[in-house]
Amino acid sequence: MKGDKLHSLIEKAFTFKNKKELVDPQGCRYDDSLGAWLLINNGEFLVKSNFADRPRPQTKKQDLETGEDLKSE
Amino acid sequence: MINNNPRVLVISNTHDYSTDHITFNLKNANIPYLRLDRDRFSLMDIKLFPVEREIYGNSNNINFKISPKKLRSIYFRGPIYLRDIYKTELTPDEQFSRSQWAAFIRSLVIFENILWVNHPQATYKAEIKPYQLYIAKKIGFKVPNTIVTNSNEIHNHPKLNKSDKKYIIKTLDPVILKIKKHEAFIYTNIINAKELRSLNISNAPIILQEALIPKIDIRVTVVDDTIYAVSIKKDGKGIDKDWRTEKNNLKFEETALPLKINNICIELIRQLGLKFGAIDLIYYDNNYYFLEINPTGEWAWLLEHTKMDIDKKITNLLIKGIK
Repeated sequence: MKGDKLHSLIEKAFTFKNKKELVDPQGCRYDDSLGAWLLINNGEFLVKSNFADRPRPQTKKQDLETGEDLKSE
Repeated sequence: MINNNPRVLVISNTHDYSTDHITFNLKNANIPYLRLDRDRFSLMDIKLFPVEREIYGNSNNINFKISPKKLRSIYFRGPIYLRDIYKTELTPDEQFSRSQWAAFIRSLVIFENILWVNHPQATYKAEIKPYQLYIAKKIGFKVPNTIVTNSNEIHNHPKLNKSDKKYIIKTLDPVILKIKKHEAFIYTNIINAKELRSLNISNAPIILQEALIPKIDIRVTVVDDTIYAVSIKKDGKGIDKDWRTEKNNLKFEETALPLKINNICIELIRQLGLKFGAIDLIYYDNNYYFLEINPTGEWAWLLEHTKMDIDKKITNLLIKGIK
């Protein structure tokens, strides 16, 4: 290392200052036998519903809660 | 009590919503399947018999038996590398649990002669970026000039000593760091020749590439022998920096690739022993260049932006298996 300088890539790291914690989707329950989140009120699969709070799948990294990131934990 | 002897096994975690698309399709196809979520393993009672190659378990109101007689495929969305070194708040119990359950899901490789999407061993190798570049070039892709190095004097290398060029620096492997109590991710960065001369990288190797810009990013999702390609633009133009840092006005458009490029993408998946891969290409100077492939790449976001039926293709592959 050059003196006390950080590694060049660490200097360029993007910090997530407002990272959302992983929480269960509201109004839903996880069904073990179906392996999916269902809407409590009608039993519909959350990802196929028009539920307003449906988690939108993200590309990756900017939203750390996506499956792609969790797969590496 | 429900008894489940699955034909398709899904390894995931409860907050991986992409997996819900697959279980939705499996349910509709009336295929016996079982989803095991890593974050719920400790709520289950599981017994694995390695020699007999059988797993018995129960959870809530489900009894399951996984056996090679019935099992045709595994959709594996579990980790290959444990990359959560930044989570210093984990208790010893959590650390121990994570490491041992990770080893448990790796143990599923006892199920040979079935279809894996993807097999952990293949994913492990395919995630090695220098190896990806080597294979990609070997089978006909154009690739950027690349050096993996920790040399602070790399600017003196004959391949790099053009003072007017720009370069890409990125990690050799994805990493999430903890910096001042916050999580941090390192994207791909563009640097100029002056920055190249002042690099401080001796502490850890990086990937250094020639910057091929202006460029248009192409995400190619390959499922077995099917290609799903989208171009990624902002305000109608390509994005020179890492497009993942852009949040607004991104447009993902389905795009047709030349037959030769399609075929090389499929060949790459085969060469790497994968059934699924998310390939990052760029279109630069009238040519397609390979950047990297992610064997565990995300795809559900494409369902939101396009009419691509990636989820159905993956499901059909799992149902078909190899028997």
